[in-house]
Amino acid sequence: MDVSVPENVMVTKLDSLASWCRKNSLWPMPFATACCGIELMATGASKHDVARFGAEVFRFSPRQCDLMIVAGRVVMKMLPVLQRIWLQMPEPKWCISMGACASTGGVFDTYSVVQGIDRFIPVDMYVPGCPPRPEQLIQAIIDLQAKIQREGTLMGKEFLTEARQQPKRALLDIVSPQGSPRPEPLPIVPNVGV
Amino acid sequence: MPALPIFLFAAVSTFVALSILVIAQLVGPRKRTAVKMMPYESGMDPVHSARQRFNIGFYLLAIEFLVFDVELLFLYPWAVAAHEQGAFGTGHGAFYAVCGFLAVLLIGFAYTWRKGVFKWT
Repeated sequence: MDVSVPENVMVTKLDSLASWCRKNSLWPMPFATACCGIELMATGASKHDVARFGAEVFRFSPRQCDLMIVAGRVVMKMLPVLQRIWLQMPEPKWCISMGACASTGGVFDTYSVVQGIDRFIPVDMYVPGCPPRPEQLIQAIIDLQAKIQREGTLMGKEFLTEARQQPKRALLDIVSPQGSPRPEPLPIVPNVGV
Repeated sequence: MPALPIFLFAAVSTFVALSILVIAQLVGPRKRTAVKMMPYESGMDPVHSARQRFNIGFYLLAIEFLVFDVELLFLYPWAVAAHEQGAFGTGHGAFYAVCGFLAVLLIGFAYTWRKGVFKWT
């Protein structure tokens, strides 16, 4: 049976529609701790204008955010803060590790700096650079949008699973000069304070 | 009916706003956890409850500030209008009127002063 549809009618699945809505309204949580934060601000400003991708609404409360952008090095003392803010963000949520420091520790190869946040929170996109250009961050957002479009259902129940909360290393092990493997990811223990 | 487009516009925008809220309520995944329910203090431990009690003096001082604030707010347009009418020349009607207004506020101010608003002990 042939059914003719006018040219201005689109046919899709509800799951795809939900993913399309999610990917075009990513509200970033700027976890900017270092110079990558300056590039993050430039990304939000008028010249690079991340509003073209629906991600201009930087929110300073995790309650309203979908996308955590960790911009800059994270020291061990800051790590509980990072994990708590990650857990406070409502599902569905994604994380971009922006810059060399957040992804691997960068030049700060020392005991006090986290050697890659993907050991402690789940990361969806890694942005190389020190600091990355705003174009690179925009590319990461575009790639993340493609990833969001591939996954997800209408009701989004799969976002609520415990596995989505926990760190899962996606970045391949970088070959260190000594050849030592990167440490395994650690599970997040929720901490509600005193 | 010339106003029909306005009603249509209001109806459509109300419908769109409500449907967005309802769809988000029905479809959006949500999970309440203890960490999400705690007050947001930029990821730090909250040191005490946000429902803190303040000295009543702050409230009274704010009220007193409001008296003078509103007074000044009225005096500015009064001054312009009185100047344009030449009220300072003959009659002085506008001047006596504003004196009455100030007197009312002054009585209230004197009352609160008498009641000891400025004694913080």
